[in-house]
Amino acid sequence: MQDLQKMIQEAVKNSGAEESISSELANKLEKELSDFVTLNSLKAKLSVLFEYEKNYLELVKEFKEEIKFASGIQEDLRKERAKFFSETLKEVSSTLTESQVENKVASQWLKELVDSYTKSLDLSGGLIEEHTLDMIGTIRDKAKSQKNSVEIASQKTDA
Amino acid sequence: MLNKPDLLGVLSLMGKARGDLVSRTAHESPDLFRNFFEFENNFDMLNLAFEREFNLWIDKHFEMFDKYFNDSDSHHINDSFKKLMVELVESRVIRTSTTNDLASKDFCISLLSEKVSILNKFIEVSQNSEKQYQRLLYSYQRDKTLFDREFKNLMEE
Repeated sequence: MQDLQKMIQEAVKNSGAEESISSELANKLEKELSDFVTLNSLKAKLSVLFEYEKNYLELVKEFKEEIKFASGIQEDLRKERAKFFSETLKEVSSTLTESQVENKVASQWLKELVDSYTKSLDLSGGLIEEHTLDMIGTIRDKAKSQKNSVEIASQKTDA
Repeated sequence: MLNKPDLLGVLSLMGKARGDLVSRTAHESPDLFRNFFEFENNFDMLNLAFEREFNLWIDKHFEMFDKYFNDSDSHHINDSFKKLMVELVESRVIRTSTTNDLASKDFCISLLSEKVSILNKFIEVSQNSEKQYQRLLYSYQRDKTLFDREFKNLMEE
């Protein structure tokens, strides 16, 4: 900005303008030009941001079904876990009580059941998580390569 | 990475196996409940019965895998299933190792370790399905017999 100020003052001086108005003229010109440059730079930045957001939205659209799928299977597993603790376990416990299985045996067996069942749920959850992370990685890679291409395109336009 | 149908297939298999585990108690499966009454005063035998039930449950996964994915030649499914089963059995090995009141601890750990070893070879299933299936059938039968033998040993002590 200091270079711009010097250039304007030099130009005003060389134009032969009267000394009494040259300072005011230089200030006005500097303000106008500065606003113009700032606006243009802002426009360029916004354009890059807009392109990036546009591409990102396109990516989200492209992966919409994948995202829905991943979130659906995660939800199913969460529901199964909740149902196991809120309903299934009670039903199983009732069967043990109704069959008159001794209390200590019943409680030890329920512990076994919870251990095996939750371990299996955890492993299924891990498999889903692995799938989701792979998908997020693919989206990120695509977003990154598109971001780079937007930046290159913007640099070419500036040049 | 598993594709969507394969991922759903493996998740469904795991879900069905969990359902089977619960169903045996919810429907008062005679062979399971008989143990509850027969060994209610003998916790060594009862613990061994629990270990057998876990082993049977693991075998159930193999049975289901063979049923649902017999025609599949996907390396990813085999790999993914094997990984899940190894983790499941290994978590049991850790649990069994840290249990102090299990009389047949060494026996159970050796049986579970044997399972992990079979699982590690399971990846070859797509290359020689029939041979591997026969090996699994043999493994189920062997487990049952070894458990019966261990029950007998404990009874005689």
